[in-house]
Amino acid sequence: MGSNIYGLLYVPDLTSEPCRNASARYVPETATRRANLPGYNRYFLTALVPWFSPECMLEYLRAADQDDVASMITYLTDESMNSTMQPPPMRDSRWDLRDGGQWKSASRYPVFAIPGLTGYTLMQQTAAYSGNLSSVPFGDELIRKYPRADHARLYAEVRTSGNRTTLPTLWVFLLVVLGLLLVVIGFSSLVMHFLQRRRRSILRRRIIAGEVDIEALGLKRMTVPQEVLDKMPVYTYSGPSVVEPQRSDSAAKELDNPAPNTNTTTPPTPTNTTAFTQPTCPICLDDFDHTTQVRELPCRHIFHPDCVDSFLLTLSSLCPMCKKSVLPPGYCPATVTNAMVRRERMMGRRRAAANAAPFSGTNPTSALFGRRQSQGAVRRVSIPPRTLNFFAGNTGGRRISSAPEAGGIEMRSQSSQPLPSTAEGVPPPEPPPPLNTQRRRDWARQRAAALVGPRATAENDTDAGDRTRPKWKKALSRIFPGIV
Amino acid sequence: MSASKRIVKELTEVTSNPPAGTKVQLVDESDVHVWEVLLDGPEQSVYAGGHFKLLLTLPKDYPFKPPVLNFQTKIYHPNVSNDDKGSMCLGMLRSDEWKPPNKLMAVINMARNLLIEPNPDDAVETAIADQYKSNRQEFEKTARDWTKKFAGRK
Repeated sequence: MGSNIYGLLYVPDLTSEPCRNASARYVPETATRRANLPGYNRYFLTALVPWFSPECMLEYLRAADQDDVASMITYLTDESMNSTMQPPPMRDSRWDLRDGGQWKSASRYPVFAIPGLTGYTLMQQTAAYSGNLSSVPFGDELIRKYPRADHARLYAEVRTSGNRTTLPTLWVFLLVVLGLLLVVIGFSSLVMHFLQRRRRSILRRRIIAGEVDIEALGLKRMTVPQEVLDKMPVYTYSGPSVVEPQRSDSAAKELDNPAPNTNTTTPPTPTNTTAFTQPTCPICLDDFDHTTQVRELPCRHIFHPDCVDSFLLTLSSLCPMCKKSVLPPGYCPATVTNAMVRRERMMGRRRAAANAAPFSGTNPTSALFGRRQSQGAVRRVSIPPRTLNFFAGNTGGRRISSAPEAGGIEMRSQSSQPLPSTAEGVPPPEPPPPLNTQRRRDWARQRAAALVGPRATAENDTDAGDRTRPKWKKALSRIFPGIV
Repeated sequence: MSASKRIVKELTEVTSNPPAGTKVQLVDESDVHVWEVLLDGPEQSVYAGGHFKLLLTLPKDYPFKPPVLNFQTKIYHPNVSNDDKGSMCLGMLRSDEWKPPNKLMAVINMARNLLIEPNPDDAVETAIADQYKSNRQEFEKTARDWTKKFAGRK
């Protein structure tokens, strides 16, 4: 039966004369009364009352309260009495007892309303089941089965479980709003995810097309995969002038990848001698001798494999000497992250702002270092010429001179170049010109724009930041990428 | 590690043949990554007579990352930050300009040269740089005062 409310049906007794008289019209003489339920205190009771006047209804409610009923069933006796329609809703004025609705909350038992006709029929039936066992309908048969002293009474059960499923309208409204909200959130999340995905694929295409150099932009700290490193030639150092293109397989000492060492880029040939022939490894400052194995990067700088390999594998993809990427053009990391997209866009905006900034290069050193001074808003170094000379002059001895020499060559080659017209405040064209030095210069400029602080390089990017973010932010950014 | 091998090599070089007016030693003998540089104000500069203590910190990734140079003695200079760090960060000391073949000897020399000739175009203390450019006498006076006040004693 669950939480259903049940009890023996009876009509409570009215106390006041006027009400008793008035009720006579609706309650039959023989209707089941409290007195007709002898010795049934152990049963629950359900009061059945006609609703004909507020005063008498209050009297009924009090009487039922005294009888300690489990529930009350009432029906309107007025013009709708013959209707089988649903009784009016609770806030209807006909349920008003002129006590400000207090009866609804004050009563200790539930009051149910039934259609007028049903109530009338029920009332007539209670009249039939108020006497002793033999007087009720089918009393003859009952007598045969039960003792004569027993009683047959009407029993009512109100199913309340059905009410549970139909939620109140406020809740329905809230659920609808909630549902709509979820739909909106889901939709916008989908749209944002789609946008991000599109941006990622666009950036990926641009990287592959060589328009964006991810590390030069400081997008992500790139490292060189072993298989790319393996393609860079390793050979025995053979003095500053002659370079033997012999690619020794000794590189395989650290490779477990037996892939053929075919070099797809231009192999160094004796006619194509390196631009930066260094007698010393710039990393450990040890001299090369004729038995030393050296690794040559695409920019033609040479290093001990031991010195440069771990750097390229774990720290950076740029040549330590010229900061030129050693990755093949169009090399794209396995995953293009949203952080990379964000950074690239930010970089683009900053670049545009830097290009729009007024050109300021009026100090005397700008003539010599015009290229460096031409960066508008960006603070750059211009080492006074004296300092340069000092370095060069102070590096006596072959061993020490070697490294600065290489730098010196490069500096000279840069300053001897005519000033590119793009440096004079004109925005550089978006895909950098193919010219090598020009390209490097553009990259340097972009990098400079990226480096507001002296150490704001790729380290403080992407993943490092992800780890420090609180969980709710991570979840939010998962739903709405691009917000946080 | 090849890094510490190189650092030891450079340290030997600098201690055996120190640039004029400088003295280099390790703060802690067991850690080659922190150097203490004692720098005398160059005679021809406004910092003459001063003794400056510098801390040269080599990052873990040295020589791929530049060393960090901090003036521990207060100094009135456009290129040295006027705070408790006293950091000097310009030229080759910037991470985008730094190259592994640069040597610590050159770093120390650069610091010394900047005392002789400050670089107001790349200043961290713009107020001092402006004064250096527009009112050289006032700058020199303050720099001398500070040198006497903060860098006078050994």
